[in-house]
Amino acid sequence: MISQDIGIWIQVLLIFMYFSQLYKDNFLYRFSEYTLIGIAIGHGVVLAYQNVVSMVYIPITMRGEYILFIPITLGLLIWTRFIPKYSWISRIPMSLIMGLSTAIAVRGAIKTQIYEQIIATIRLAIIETSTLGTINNIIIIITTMCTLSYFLFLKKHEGALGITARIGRLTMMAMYGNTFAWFYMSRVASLLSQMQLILLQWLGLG
Amino acid sequence: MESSGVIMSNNKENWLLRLVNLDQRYYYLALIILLVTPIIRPIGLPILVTAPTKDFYQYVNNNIQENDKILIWGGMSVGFWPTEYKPGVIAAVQHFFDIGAKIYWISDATEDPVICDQYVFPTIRKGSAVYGVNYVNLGYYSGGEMAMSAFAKDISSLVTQDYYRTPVNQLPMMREVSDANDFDFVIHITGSPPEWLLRQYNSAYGKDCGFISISGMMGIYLPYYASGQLVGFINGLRGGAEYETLTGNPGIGLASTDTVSTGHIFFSFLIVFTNVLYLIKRRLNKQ
Amino acid sequence: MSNLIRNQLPLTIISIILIVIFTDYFLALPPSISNFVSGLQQWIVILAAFALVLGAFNIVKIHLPKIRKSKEISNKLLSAWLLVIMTITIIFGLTLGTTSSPYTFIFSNMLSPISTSVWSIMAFYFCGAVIRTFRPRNLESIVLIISTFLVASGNAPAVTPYLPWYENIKTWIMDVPNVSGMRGMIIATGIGVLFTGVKMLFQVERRSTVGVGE
Repeated sequence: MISQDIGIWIQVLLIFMYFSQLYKDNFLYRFSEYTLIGIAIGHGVVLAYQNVVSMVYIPITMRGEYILFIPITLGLLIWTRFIPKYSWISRIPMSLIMGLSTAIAVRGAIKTQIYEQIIATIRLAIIETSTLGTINNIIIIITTMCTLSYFLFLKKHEGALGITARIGRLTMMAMYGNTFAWFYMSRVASLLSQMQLILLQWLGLG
Repeated sequence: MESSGVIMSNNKENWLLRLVNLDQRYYYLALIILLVTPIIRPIGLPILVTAPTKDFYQYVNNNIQENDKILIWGGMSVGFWPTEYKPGVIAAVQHFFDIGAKIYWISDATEDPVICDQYVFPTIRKGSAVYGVNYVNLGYYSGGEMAMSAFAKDISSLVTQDYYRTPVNQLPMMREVSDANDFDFVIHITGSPPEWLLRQYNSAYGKDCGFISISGMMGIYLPYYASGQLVGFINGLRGGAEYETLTGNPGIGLASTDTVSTGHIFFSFLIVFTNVLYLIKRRLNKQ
Repeated sequence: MSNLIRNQLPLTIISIILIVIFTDYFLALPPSISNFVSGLQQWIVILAAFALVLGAFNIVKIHLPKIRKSKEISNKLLSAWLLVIMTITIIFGLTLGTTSSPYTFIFSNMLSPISTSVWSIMAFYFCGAVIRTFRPRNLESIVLIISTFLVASGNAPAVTPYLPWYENIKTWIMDVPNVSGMRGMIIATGIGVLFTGVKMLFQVERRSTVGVGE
């Protein structure tokens, strides 16, 4: 039996509006797209406000941490980006954000992305496993090094480097194929949820 | 006979040309039909459990005990919630509550605290779990990895109230934690690469990390799983269905495997079919 | 003086923060310095909250003139609707809170279905990509096509319980070429991040600040 819930009807209507782009770009599709953008941006503003209340207003009013007026001032200076004459001022607070984000990324990347991954690759050469496992490990070590050689741009990819870079490229193609297939699964799962909403919740079938 | 052979050959070529130049919207229609059918008439196909999900489950079973503290960084987008996140998140959080662990949920995506409030905790059986004593929703903190780093270093510098504006000093379980060292297991629920959490918790504090993610991130998480930096991960709908199988709590994941099957079989067929048509088209062009 | 403040000061700030964060992480410093670093991180999370609002300002900056100047009535209506729905969301969120019924109604019945549709429509576009572009033109494309086919068909739960050897092929692709390809990229990216940090530390990397506000 068809749903009586106004919320379900709105959901289905918006889904059909959005999906109408498969046939042709049209006003209804753009209406649903603009609805999404408006709500998402509005939601972000609300959450940002809650953040500032939690991290600034409460410490100042309850704990007397008046030093927090400094980040408030710096935060307001970010908004000078939209005033052409004073937009250069926004570089100062943005440089704080840039500096911290880079610092915490770099300090973690050394161990997480470089050291641990290299150690894991080297470890494959010494762990005891079956014959097939050993062959796989050798393939992983060789193809990892070949993939890394692909990203060496100091020398032209010819000769020995050309061969290893080609193997690296082929390895990455296999990786992209795998990733493509898994991303498709992700999208089918999302499409499935839309179908379930329409068929089971709206139309009451199944 | 010769003329009828030519007519037959022309008809066959026209038919083939029409097939080769078929409007792709017919393929879209075929995909919709193949997805709709198992929803209306489910088949109930079995599912194989993969190693990352099994390891996540076994880690939780063997290492997490009653009153252990689990930190969950929620980075969910509502667009992926219904089938990608929901099966894995509900099954995993239910598992944590069944063990009696304490859950500290904090968000690094704007939509996540609302999802947690509206969809996650209302859905699961909490048993004797009490808000503020056994689980807490701390809300959203901007900055992504910067917020993770700040929280890991000193919780009180970041968190003064929860999502419902209750001061944290009124929440008993918040008195038990001051930084990342106080947590027993750290999870990130996200559709992003795993570097943020691994850099800030695994690398900096040596914490065991797990992920609940969308299907598309499977290939990206595998190197970290292979190197041991991740104890395991639940990826998307399939991973969620596997976790439901392991915990014995069937839900939307297991109910959706039929449709996933037909969608993938169609996709694989499309790869072969379009390439065959391409070769036919090349042959026709040469002729 | 102007150049010093506009260009040099941001770069210097970045360098100082990099030095402070690295020394706090790698060396055992007195608690006072460690607390300073905590405070700094707290401040920057606050700044990130202010930066989050930039998107709203940008939307208003783009769409308000469109309402006035656009010749097409549909563009005017759509821009007006965008600003209206954004304002309604903000008003409900700030006055009633994000746990209130009107707000959760908007979130669940408007944001959620469209957000899911954005991702789900890509399923069709993926099929379209396969139809148009998956052609065996060279060895790389053949490897891509075979890899996609084997993993996609192996992902179908209908196939693998009845053909376990197929699951082994799929697992091999995931555990060997995928891991090695991804691992190479992870290491390369890590080295790239490290060198970007070093360049910013020595103020060689200027693109991060120069140009903002120019």
